[in-house]
Amino acid sequence: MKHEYYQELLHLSLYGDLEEDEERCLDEHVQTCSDCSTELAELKKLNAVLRQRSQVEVTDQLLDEARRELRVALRIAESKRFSLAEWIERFTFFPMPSVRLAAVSGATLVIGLSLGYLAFHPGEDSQLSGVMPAVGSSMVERTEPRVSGFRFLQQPQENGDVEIAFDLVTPVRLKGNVADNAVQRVLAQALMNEQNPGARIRTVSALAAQVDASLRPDEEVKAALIQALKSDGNVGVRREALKALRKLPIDKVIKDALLYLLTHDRNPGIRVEAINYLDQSVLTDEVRDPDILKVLQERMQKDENNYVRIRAKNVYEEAQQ
Amino acid sequence: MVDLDLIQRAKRGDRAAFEQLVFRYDKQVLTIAARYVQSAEDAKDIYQEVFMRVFRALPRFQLRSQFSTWLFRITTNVCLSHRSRRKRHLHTSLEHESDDEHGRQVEGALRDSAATDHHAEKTDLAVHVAKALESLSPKQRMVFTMKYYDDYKIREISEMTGLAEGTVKRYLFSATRKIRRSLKDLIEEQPS
Repeated sequence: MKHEYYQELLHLSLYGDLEEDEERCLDEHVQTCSDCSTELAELKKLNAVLRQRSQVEVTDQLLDEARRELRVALRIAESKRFSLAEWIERFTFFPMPSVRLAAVSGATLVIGLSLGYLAFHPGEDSQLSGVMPAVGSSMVERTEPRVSGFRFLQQPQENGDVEIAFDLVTPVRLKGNVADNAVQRVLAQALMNEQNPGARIRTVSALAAQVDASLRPDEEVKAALIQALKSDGNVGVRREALKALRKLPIDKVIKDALLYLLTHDRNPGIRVEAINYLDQSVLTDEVRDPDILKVLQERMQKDENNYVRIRAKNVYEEAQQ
Repeated sequence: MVDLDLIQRAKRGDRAAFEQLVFRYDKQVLTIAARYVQSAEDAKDIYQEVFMRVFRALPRFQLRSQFSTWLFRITTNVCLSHRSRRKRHLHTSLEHESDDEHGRQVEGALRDSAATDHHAEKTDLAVHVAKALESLSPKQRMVFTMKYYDDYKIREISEMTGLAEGTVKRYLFSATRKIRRSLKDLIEEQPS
């Protein structure tokens, strides 16, 4: 066989991409060809050098950070997705004027019907928004609804059939007490969906005040606090959520969230606060939970931050006594 | 749930389905990006750009190819177009080594009184290998890192990048030749 063929096999051997018979064939050739034997030795040296490349390690923490940042970007993109320009672009995309006309007529009809329906049923809270099933003593004031997030689920057909979706946004002014169930649920929704981190911090602080008052927050509120704790990109929001949850006794959900923080949160201050939270329960059986001990032990050995390691060690040793 | 169901739901605007779909493949995407670039920040940038493109293009995805094939094609394209920003970062970081991971390693080696010469040499080698990879064209580098550091088969790289297998091999061989030239002195210093 041609020498070039073996040269190609030599390179493929560097990448570990040889079939068994090719490898055998190459081995036999190298025994008898000094050029290829020298080339193989050179490639092995090259291999040794290339293995010294320091690579970015794809850890769970890095993946978690990437996912968190993606969520934020998606949230922003979703809010911008159906801007007026895109809405117009969608219409100009239809090639035939008759189809375009059908689409506009269909959309206008649906929007008109929806607005009309709302206009004649202004008093039914539950039909406007799932976040306020009951308003209790709160005072609700609405202004005119507007359409946003318009999109086609099914493009207009030849016969004019079309399926569209859109958000009917009704600006609402809600006045009430943080202890009110309706207010709490709105705050919980805002905590999960609001784009402005400052607003999220104020929201979580308001929720924290309620947690303090009753020690028994609504499950939806608790879930929102835990989600913010685990995935909010803003450290201030995570810290406030942790402060709010610290007022509660540890249960399984909170424990899991704390262990997640200890392992994944990139902010050492948050990790220390998570340990402090566990420290609160040092006299209970909770901290002797093997899951908690395992994570504390891991942190006291591996955490990149010295203070986190010391705190983890203190709490671990205290729990062992 | 199979990809198809998730895709259909995600196309209708179901965020949870979209996330579920993303989480099936995102570690692989991040790994490809991390092998291609030199910093975690760049890898995350690529990751985000890939899934934002998927998010934007999914409503038009025709299901003529596998979702994974489409996704990895986007990933390699984003890596290739990420070049200019990455080069700028790398230029800065190689000039001021303490800014990047290699720099941190060099710094660490110097700071640590117990650091051995061997460690320092190893770090130095890593910097040279990084520079050699940097000298490759984006396509050479993409194919080389996927093959050498990610261990994909040539057939898989061909599928993921949309390049013919022969072209993949050509890029690999030319990349190897170029790297050998760049690292000539270091290779000669290696024990036989």
